[in-house]
Amino acid sequence: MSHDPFRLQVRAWLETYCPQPMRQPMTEEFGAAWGGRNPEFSCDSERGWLLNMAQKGWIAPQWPVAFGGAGLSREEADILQQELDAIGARPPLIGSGLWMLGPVLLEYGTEDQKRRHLPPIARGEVRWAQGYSEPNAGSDLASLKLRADLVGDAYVLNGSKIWSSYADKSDWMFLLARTDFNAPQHQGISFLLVDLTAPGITRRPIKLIDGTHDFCEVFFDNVRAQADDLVGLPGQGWTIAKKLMDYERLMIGAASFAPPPAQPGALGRSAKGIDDNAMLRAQIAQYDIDAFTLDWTNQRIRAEMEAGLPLVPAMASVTKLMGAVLEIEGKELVLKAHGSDALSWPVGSPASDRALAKDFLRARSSAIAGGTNEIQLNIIAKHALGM
Amino acid sequence: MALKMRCLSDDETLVQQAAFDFCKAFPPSAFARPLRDGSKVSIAGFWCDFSSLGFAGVRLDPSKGGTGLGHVAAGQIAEALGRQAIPSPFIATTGIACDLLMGKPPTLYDHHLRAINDGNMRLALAFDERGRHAHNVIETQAHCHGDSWVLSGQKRVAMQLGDATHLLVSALLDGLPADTGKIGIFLIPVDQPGVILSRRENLDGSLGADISLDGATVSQDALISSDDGAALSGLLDVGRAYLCAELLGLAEACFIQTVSFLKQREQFGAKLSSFQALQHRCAQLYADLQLARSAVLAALLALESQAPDTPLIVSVAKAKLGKVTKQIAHEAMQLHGGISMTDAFDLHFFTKRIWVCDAALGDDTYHSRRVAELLGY
Repeated sequence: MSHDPFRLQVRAWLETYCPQPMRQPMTEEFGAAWGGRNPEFSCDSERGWLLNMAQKGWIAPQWPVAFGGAGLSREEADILQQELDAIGARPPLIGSGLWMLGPVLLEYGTEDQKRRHLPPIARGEVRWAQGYSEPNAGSDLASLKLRADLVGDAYVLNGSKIWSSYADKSDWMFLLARTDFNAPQHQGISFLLVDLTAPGITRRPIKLIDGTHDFCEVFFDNVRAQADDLVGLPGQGWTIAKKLMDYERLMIGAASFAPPPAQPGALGRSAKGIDDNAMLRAQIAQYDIDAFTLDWTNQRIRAEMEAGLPLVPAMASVTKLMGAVLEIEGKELVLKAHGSDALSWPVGSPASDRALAKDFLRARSSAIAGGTNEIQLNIIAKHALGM
Repeated sequence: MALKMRCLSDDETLVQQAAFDFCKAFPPSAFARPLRDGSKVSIAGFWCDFSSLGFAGVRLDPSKGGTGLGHVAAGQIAEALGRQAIPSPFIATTGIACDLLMGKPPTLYDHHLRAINDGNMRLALAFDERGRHAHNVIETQAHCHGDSWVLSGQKRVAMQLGDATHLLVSALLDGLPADTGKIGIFLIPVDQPGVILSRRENLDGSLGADISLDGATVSQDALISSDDGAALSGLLDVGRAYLCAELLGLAEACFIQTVSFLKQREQFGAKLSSFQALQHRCAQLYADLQLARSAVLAALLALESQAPDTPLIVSVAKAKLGKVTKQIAHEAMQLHGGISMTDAFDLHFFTKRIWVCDAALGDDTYHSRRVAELLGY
């Protein structure tokens, strides 16, 4: 197996083209290249790693060559991933274009849409944002009201979106809009692709409780989107969106964009070093037990998918729910272990002094974004239990 | 942690299906209840049919009449037994005794393995000496006299004594203290002179016993294993992993019955399943059960691949299963309401056995503590 010619070829290529700094673990969540028309790189290595992988088509290795991929089989893609993992390589590119829109376009897109949109994603040249939630459509997403009226060869958009991650830094947005106000709620929604530099768009970052402003409000005032950029059929948007949210939930559950998890037991050992408190250690042990079993569950889902078995009902919701609960618990335990120290810092000190508190605050969003915990419970009750 | 999760193989899926189908004929109304009430059924009779289908010898080599599968396949059978709350000697026999005997030079214990495969040897564990599991408490002593060993001490068999034909007994060899001495494991007949049983009834209706070993004299070949305690420790982990599989089956049975009850029971002019407060509780249990299922598979795979982290993985699983399944037992009773408190309704055979299996070989708190110790805190 380890002498497979493709594996050897991958290994040799990576040896030359994966820069050393890109073989170090990420130091923070999403600490990799996002790409885009105006890309920001943390260092030259990050830029070089993206370009090298893009040239090879290995950013989206299983996509067809014509669409910017390398046309690898699943076995070959697995080998590539194993070799990347073996040297601890960071992902060359992260973002919703690659993880969510790409798979959806491959399934529902026209040839023209695939040709226009997939290669720039696979080369990291266009960065995508997601436009789902609206100020009055949160958990009840299907009540969304952003309207798209077909006028000639374009849809004219009016309304607004909210909680769109990095919309201010993105180039395009995939969004849900109402194209039919007479159809039943779920059937009047369409899935549209919109250039965020189009006239009539205003993007406004929202400052969050942890001091970051990654999420944006986006306002649409008579914005024109090509009719050719409606994905699937008019009215099919909800079906496509649900599919895409499954990809999103699996991603949040598996957390492939995050730094590698701490060594099992690290928190417990550090807590013991700070204050030998049996109650705290008991809570940490419970957390470690849950973390192991969630990790095994993610591995089990992957093994079942690779074996071509049908996904157990609502498993994406199960791992999203349990992952969110666990993440918050974990960050809160870190606060407990450090006490007031984690909640205060010298005036004017660098952001790294605030990391523990910030991580804790940020973790709250995993129970809200991508469908709240309560929505996941609704989905499980309906789809897995038929209630 | 170098554990690789995988799906069930075709053979394992076949065993799973066969075991589920077989056990379906033995729901509590047909087995656990009459057994508790002392009427008509016997474990020996059940075990005979069970073994004739190859379940008792699932792990034995085909040359000894077995099926030649591993711990993962055996775990599916334990789960199937749990699904019908069947008390049986499976864990001590197919799990622990097979592990002990199969690890020895081939042919040495063929007669025992054949007897297990044929259903004629049913084991119970005489390891514990305290009411609450404490793996390192062994005061029972075995003194060597010529070609025999003389056993003296007190043991507690927590479960699965039922119709056991033999006991596995742990003892300090030659009376040395535990930290320096060798720990032996003996396989002896239940009716061995000097073995005095005081029968105990377990919460779930199965039978246990207090055992006095009062100078029981056994031959040299009754001593199957002796070392510093590693063998005993490994066998306990086998038992725990199988208990996890059985707990999973018990909890799934409770959960499935509860969801179907909610879909059929009407109050306030609506099916109970239409109330979101109840839907969310069931959905949470479903998520917990999925994680528990992964933990069971991880524990069985760890045993099968002899992973170096097996003690940690097994303790994580036993802690998780103990906590989740007790929670499901409580919720199943609460969501059923008053009927769950009646003896006539079978749900209590499942919930009671959950408490018995949780306590056996260490409950969730015992194993949470072991997880922390193994992780170094």
